[in-house]
Amino acid sequence: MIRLSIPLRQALGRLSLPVLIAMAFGVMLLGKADALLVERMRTMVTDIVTPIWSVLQQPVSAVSDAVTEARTLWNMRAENQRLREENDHLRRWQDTALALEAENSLLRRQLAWVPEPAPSFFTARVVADGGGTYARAVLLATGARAPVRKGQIALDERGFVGRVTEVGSRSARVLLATDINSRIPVTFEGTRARAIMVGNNSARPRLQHWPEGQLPRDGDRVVTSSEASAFPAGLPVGIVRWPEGGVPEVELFARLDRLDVVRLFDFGLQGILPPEAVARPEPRQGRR
Amino acid sequence: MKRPKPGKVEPPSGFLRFLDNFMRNALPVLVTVVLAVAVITQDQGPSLALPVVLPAVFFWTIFRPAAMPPLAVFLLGVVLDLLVSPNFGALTVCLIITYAVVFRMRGSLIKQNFYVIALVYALVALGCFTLSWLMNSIGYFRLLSPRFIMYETLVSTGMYPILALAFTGMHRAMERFE
Repeated sequence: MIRLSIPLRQALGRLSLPVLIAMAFGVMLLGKADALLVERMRTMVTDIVTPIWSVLQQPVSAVSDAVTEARTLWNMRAENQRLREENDHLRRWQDTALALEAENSLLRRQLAWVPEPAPSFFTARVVADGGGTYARAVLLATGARAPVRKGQIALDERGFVGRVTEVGSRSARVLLATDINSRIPVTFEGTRARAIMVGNNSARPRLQHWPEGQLPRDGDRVVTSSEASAFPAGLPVGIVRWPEGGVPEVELFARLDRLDVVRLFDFGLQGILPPEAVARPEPRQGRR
Repeated sequence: MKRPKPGKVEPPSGFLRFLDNFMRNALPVLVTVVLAVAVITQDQGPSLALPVVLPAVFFWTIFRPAAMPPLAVFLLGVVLDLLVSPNFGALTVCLIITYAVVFRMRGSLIKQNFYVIALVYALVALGCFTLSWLMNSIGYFRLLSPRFIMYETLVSTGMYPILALAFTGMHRAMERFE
């Protein structure tokens, strides 16, 4: 160990804090200047921490499962009543759906319709909150050989969740639809009008840029649009809501506040990706 | 024959002693990292990483600055930035500046009672989260909702007494072994 004289050591001690403050600003500038380097470092750290998160997540999910179980038992009677009513309601819808399905297949036969191939997907577990206070993202634990790539689309059991923005060797980051940087082209199912769904870090993203004279209506179903070939058309996103005296928002189908597992779909689309992905195009894996 | 009075066990010398001291001094930082990583596991709403790390940095800076050196605070910030911050570097800047402020106040704070320190913590947290909000607003080139400042300050201030109690226990146990 090098022995320093006491005055020198005191001087160094006094100097270390200003130097570190300057370095902190340097780190921030580095983040702005070389986004790729930062992303690589991020992926490295995330890959190291993800196995720890996977282990930590187990007791957390066990506790939350137990709480849910207890609540279910408590509410069983009311829930049963509600389900009975819902079942009656759904039975009527089932009849309609079956009739429509029959009609649809009849029409397809007449039109020599070529069905679309089913997209490939795999399921990954959400292990951590990958966003800070000012961002909305989740981290997934993916296997070492999972076919994850940037731009894949994440859905939960109800609807659209977000897109894969960073891929590590054992983890992946999904930018949620609610993030301030998220822009999703959407279509209103009723009017077929298009718009952009813009995240603002709150639970409900806002709608912008709809065609003039075609105001989004409250309760309209919102699905993805194939504009810019970033998304396939027709993935369920949410329902239009008009808050009092505000801008139209989308109430998402997906439950982003309690994501457990998500399905990552590979639609093979090479549309708009984050800028760093464009600089480094990745080949599609497992497909011709 | 008279038995000798039982005294303290002689501390090990050389490398073992160094290791013992090093691990003891590293414990607060390690606990803070574990706390942050554990908190990030929850995936509901805004992340609580900074509101949980800030009490730890504040407490150890006042009561055991040797165990929370500026370099450790800097590295803690970088790791947190890599894990949760979309705006790389913002958390590091917030943490190190807050550290510098608390370190300056340390001499007068250490003599105060718990309530005064908790009150000062609330003000320090408000300053830190306002800075974080400002940095993020600049990073995004738009004015972000200032309610996040209130949210984070309230959560962090509410958590301070609980964490301070646990850290005080740790601090006393560490003193006993010295």
